[in-house]
This record gives sequence, structure tokens and C-alpha cells, in this order.
Amino acid sequence: MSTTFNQVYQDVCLTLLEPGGLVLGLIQPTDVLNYLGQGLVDLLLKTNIIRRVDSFQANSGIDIYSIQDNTTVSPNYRPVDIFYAAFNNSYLHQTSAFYLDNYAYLWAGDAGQPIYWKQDEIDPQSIQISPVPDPYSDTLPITVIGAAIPIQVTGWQLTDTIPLLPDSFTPALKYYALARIFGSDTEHKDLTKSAYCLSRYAEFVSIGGAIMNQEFQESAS
Amino acid sequence: MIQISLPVGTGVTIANQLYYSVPAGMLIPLRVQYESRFIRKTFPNQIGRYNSTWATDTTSNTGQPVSEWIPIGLDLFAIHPIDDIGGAALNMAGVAEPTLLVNPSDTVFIPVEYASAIADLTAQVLVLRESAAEFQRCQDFYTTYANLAMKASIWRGLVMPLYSAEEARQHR
Repeated sequence: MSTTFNQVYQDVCLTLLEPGGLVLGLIQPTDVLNYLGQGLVDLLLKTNIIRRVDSFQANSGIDIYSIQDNTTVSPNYRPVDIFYAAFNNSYLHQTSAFYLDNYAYLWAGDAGQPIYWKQDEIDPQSIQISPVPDPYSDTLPITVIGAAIPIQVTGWQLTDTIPLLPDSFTPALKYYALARIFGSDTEHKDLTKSAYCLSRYAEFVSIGGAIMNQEFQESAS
Repeated sequence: MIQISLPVGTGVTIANQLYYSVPAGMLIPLRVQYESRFIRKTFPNQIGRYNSTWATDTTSNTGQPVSEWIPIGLDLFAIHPIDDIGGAALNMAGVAEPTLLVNPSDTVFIPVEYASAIADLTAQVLVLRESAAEFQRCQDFYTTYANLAMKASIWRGLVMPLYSAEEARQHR
């Protein structure tokens, strides 16, 4: 993770026959940086190749918690697609509102040691644990594991290092940006090249997905 | 894909540390070696289901050595139980990040029968700078590359035993 946005940007410029930087056309350097940032989030969201462990405090009587951005480490990240949760270091089983409503219909009033967690039928970026932590218990930690994406999508600088993404995957960002540029209504418009670049980008998504499927994927049920 | 073995961190376990970073230069972590033996791979939910307090288990309170590793994405993993003494050798084996080719004399570590794929892909990438008509005329380069890459993938999938395939099947 040492590739800078500038390295990928220069590669994009070279492909567009403007080595050194874009100055001639409608596409500005900030546009390319925005495309690269969007590609970065898109790739990490689709592949889940980078995951992080987060902890926060659970309070007695409260069952819904929002998952906060982690700004205490570098690079900062936003936890998404939670697939594992534990309460006080004790494993919680993932469930759904449908299961609880139909097979444990008094669940909303239960209090005690949490057994389940779910993410449906509550706000995005939140988890709900059940039973609600006992009102007489201490404040105890909830641990979650989820995919990590950058908090920042746009506004990157050329000197910034591309966060979270392994160096081997950074060419994917070049193809994502080129697909957007060739697909834009500018002097670079060429839908065949755009489709080709999108196909090359999709290769990286497929490879990332295949790695996770072979080596890391598991069902949370 | 080039397989390498690298020390994790300083090459030894740190007392009471659950999570470790995958060594730099490792693209896909495949195996973890604790002292002289490779340990079993499991997954967070897998281990949680049969041992709900796994994250607090230590080598002292369980009386067993570190015997499992839990991958968490491409750059992080956990060990179970936690080594609460530390200082034991910890290494990771897996697929290395490919080396960036810079000079004409640099070597590509791929089977020679797939070398033409590199030439085809390079040609396709280069004509991306040409006119639309020229680029379209050269689409065959990419098709040829994609076919060869797909064949390589199929043949690689037939290599048995494919490491961890049995575990992966059991755990799904």
C-alpha cells in the first residue's frame, strides 16, 4: 500500500496521450482524482478484500448501535458489510427480523445476555443485538468485523497514498477512471474503449472476489 | 503465482496479541506456521460457533499451543489461542505480490507456455492510446490473452491437492 494517486494518474495521462498531466481537454486532473476515489470505494465494496476489527461499548438497556467511522487509525476507514459480532468477547449468532418475529416473537422485550445480532429493519450502518443487554449489567464491549472502505470518496490529492488497497490492485483504478473518461461526453468519448476498460476493471473485481471466496469466505448463518 | 514464506512482524508472537498484520509483500495469505508446524485455518464465524469465547482463549488458560489461524481480509489475521507468553516463531506462507517489471532483462515468473499472454496483453494495453479504429482492429490481442488466462485458471484448478480446498469445502 505505497502507490500514490499520482502514479495511477500519470498512467491515465499517458494513455490519453498527455504525459505529465492533463491540460488540453475537458477532463481535469480533479475529475480523474474523483474517478480514482470512486473506483477505490467501488472495488473495496465489491470485493471486501480488506476487513477490520472494531470495538465499541454496549450500554445496558440499549440494543441498537450505529457503526462509527474509525478515525483513530491511519488510514481512516468506514466499516461496512459487518459479518461477525461478539458481545463481551462472546460470539453472537447472526439472525434476521423475520426469524425473531416468527420464532421468538417476544424478542423485543427480552433482556439478558445477548445471543443474536442483526442488521435488517434498522438504519444503515447499525447493528441490533438481542436480547437487549441486562439493565443491571456493566458496560461491556461489542466487537464487529466488517469490510473497510475509505471515509473519503472525493477530494484526494495527487500526493496522497492510495489507502487500504494492496498495490497489486491499483491498476484497477486506472481502468475504472479510463472507463469513465472514455464513456464521458468529451473529446475522449469512445464507447468501445470504455467497455474494454470496464472489462479490465471487472477482471480485478472478479479476482478479488475469487480470492475471498477461495480463502476467506464463509457463511455467517 | 509465486509462493513465499515471510516472518510475521518481527517473526515471533507478541504476548497476549490476538490480531497480527499480514507481512508486506504477501498478496494472498495461505498458511501460517507457528514454531515448526503449520496450523489449521478456520474462520471467525466458524470458530465462534463451536467456541463462543475463542477470542479470550490463551495458551495458558486452555493448556494448548497456538493451533489455529483466522484470516480477516488480505492484510489481517488472528491466532487461536492467544500466545500469552510470546516469543514463538510465527511465519506466513502465501502468494507474493508480483514484482513490477522495469528493465528489459527483468524476469517474469510464469510458466513459459503462458509467456505469450504477456505479449498479447501488452499489445492490447499499448493500442489503447491509438485511434478508435486501430484499437478495434486489435481486439484479438485481448481475446487471445483472455482465452489463455482462462485455460491457465482451469488447469490450475485441476492441480490436486489444491491447498485448503478440502477445508474450504468443509466450511461452506
